[in-house]
Amino acid sequence: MSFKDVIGQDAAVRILQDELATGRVNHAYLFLGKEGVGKKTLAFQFTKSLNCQESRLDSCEGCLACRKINHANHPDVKLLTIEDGNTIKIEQIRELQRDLAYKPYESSRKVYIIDRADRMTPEAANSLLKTLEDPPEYAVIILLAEELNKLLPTVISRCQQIHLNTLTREEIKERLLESGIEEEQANLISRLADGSLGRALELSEDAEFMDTRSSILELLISLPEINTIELFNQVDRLVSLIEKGFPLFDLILSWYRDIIIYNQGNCEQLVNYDYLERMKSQQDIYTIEDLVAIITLINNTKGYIDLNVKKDLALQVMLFKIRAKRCK
Amino acid sequence: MTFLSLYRKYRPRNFEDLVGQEHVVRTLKNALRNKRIAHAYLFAGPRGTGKTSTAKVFARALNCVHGPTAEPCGECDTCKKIQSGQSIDVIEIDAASNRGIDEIRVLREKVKFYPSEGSYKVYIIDEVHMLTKGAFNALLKTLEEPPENVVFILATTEPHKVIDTILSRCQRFDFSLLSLNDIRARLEYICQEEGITYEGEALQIIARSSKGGLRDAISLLDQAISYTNANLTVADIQQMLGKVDEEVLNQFFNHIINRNSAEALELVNQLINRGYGVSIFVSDLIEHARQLLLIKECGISSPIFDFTEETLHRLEQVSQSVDSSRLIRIIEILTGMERDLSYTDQPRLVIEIGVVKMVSPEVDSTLEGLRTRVAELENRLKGMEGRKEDKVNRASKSEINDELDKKTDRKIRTEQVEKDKRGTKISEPVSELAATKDDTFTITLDQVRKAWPAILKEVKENNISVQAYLLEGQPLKVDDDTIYIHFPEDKGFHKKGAEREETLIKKAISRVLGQPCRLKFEIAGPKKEVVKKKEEIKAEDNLVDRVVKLFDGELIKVNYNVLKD
Repeated sequence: MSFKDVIGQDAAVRILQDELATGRVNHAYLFLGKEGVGKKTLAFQFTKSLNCQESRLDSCEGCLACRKINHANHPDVKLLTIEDGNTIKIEQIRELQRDLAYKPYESSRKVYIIDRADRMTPEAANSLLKTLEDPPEYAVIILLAEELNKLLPTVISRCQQIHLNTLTREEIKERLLESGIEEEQANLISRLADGSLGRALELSEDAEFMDTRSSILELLISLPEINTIELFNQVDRLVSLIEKGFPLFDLILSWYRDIIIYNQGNCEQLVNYDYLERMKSQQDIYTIEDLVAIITLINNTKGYIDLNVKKDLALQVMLFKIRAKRCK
Repeated sequence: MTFLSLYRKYRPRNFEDLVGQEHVVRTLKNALRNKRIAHAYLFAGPRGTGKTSTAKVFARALNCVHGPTAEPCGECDTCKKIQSGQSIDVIEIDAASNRGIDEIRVLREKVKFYPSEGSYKVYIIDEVHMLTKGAFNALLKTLEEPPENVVFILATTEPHKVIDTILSRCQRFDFSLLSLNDIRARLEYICQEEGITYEGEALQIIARSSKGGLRDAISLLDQAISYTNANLTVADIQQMLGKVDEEVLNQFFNHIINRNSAEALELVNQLINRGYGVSIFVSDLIEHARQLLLIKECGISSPIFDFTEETLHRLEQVSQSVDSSRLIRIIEILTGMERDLSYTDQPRLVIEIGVVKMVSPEVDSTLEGLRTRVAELENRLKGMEGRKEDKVNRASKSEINDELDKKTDRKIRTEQVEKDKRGTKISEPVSELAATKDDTFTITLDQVRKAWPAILKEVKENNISVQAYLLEGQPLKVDDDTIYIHFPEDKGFHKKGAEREETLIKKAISRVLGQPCRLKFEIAGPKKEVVKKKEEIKAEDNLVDRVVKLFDGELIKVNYNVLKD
């Protein structure tokens, strides 16, 4: 793996390689981009290039440093991520600071990669500030985050920002085709992945996903006619899906979004484009006003479940409300 | 030496290097000159405005061998040590990492020791807002009366999180965001020092997107130098910042204003595919909408704009095709989106729904949205009215006349009935008048009495306290066009109150009776009531007499108390 293999991030790669070439390597970076576009891949690639013993601008993949980083046992490269719960805690940052005080063991640089930096607690983020501003000269800290506005302004202002592109459908499709997936399937997955290669690869390996997806879409299509008892039965199934980590809400959202987009006459951007025919039957049932309300409703329900409201209750209410839209 | 970030390399070394914040620098310099050094300072202000830098410069000024002086030499041993962070008399504490009470206790232990090299021991406590409550309180006594030659400098971006008892013990300096020109001047200076070629406009863009934080600006400059290989051009900077071209923004707004959702969504799709961040795009849109609104409100020649003539004209063109209320609504939707974006993990959905909301008014059931729709309806109505106005006018006029005729007819009739019934002389001329002239007074006492509850109700709706006054009165007679309202003797207060509100009552009466009138308030004579009372008493007496006669009895007095026993 070298910088060439980081897909669709030419601009970011160019900046980093330029900095390697001119020796203008900063002490703090902030990589921004959607989940699965390659932030971590790029961060590790950059780390390898910094520490590689053979090559200056890229990784050689042969030297001890490169191999150690690939095996995640390089003593001077640390990855911080969410350990327990939903956030990065101040303890983890303190640990980083203690570790940072020691000089690197093997290479010239010590690299710390903080994944999901937007999930640092306020205490953790604040405690990082001084370190982030004035670390020892051998340190490089790379923060990975999805959106700028989820971070403290004081953190942002201390980092050099590197923006990563959302991948285009074609780029993802190409990559999927390379790994031997059929044209039709690759096309669909590239739409479902919504610009995230990580997600696309996950989907392509998950055989069950497609079946589950079509069953849920069928449920949504038949929702206006479905009777109450059947609805309760379905909810039980949905709850078990959520517990398994199935992206249920994303799927439901994408369906109603598609109906809106279809209504606006924009077929090219549909996610569930294989259901185009069925969508036609749906678009007369709901007005745009209803659809926007439904999307707000789904988002709220998702929020409730994140806040530990009983899943089955929240889902039932949501589905009944959507069904009621149609009755009007 | 390894590469140092520009914002670290160009950290201010003396007071002259500090950008902006004249009020702070002046006060501190004078304090140094006059040897009036306080023992605790609080530097508060947004990120990148020079709090920590000022603290470090101040520490050096205090401990310089020539010091305390307003111009630290930067040459002497102590200056150099402080510069490199090796001085043992200047202690920089990261309060965000060491935020507990234990750390503060350690600090209190060490405060006692006399400074070893310089003349002052300076504690710089950065990010002080992150201290715990216990830690803050543990610091209070030390902060109020530290040993001689100890100076505390607290720095924070969030002074509202610092407890009041700390605030009141410090000299507070508020650092403000830096002006565009200050930032730009500093960037130019750095570019010259570093030997970097630049376009003036490019630095302007960097300065603007740093939003008043100098460190943000210098970080961006650093990044720009890497991005463009030390040759800063406008196009490169825009690309680097992920800024959407002015042209694209205009295009997007045209789609929105013309309610062309398909095109607008397609544009969004393209932008996302090209890797533009949704949140940057939305904040650009807000800025653009703001400019449109300002141009619409202030006109093109207003001095608040610093755009080229060409841009202004283009903006003006777009702004003419949309009214202010819709623009305000669009801005509201956009700011709502900005808020949603910080929570969602589906930014694309947020912007798509936002586009649909901006384009289709029927989706929008908020008050603002409804207002926009009403405004549009009104405009459409105006267009129709223009054509039909004359017709409507004529029709309504004749209707009103009919109505009036009917009214007078009815009144005359009732007058006649009254007259027949009572045969009084008073009403005669009135009714005659009514028959001859439409607009003279034609109301009798009876009518007023009948309508009295209705009048009271009408008054009550306007002002309930006036109704309370009026409740005590009674219409007693109608003379010509004057209605006399009498109040009992002991209700003078109510009469006065009613007199004060005469116009209101008049209006109410004319509304109920359909005719204007005059009012007179009077206090009824006391005699009548007194007489009446006497008569009543007499009547009672008569009854007793009659009983005595009937039963052939005798009048005796009964003592109630005796009965009880």
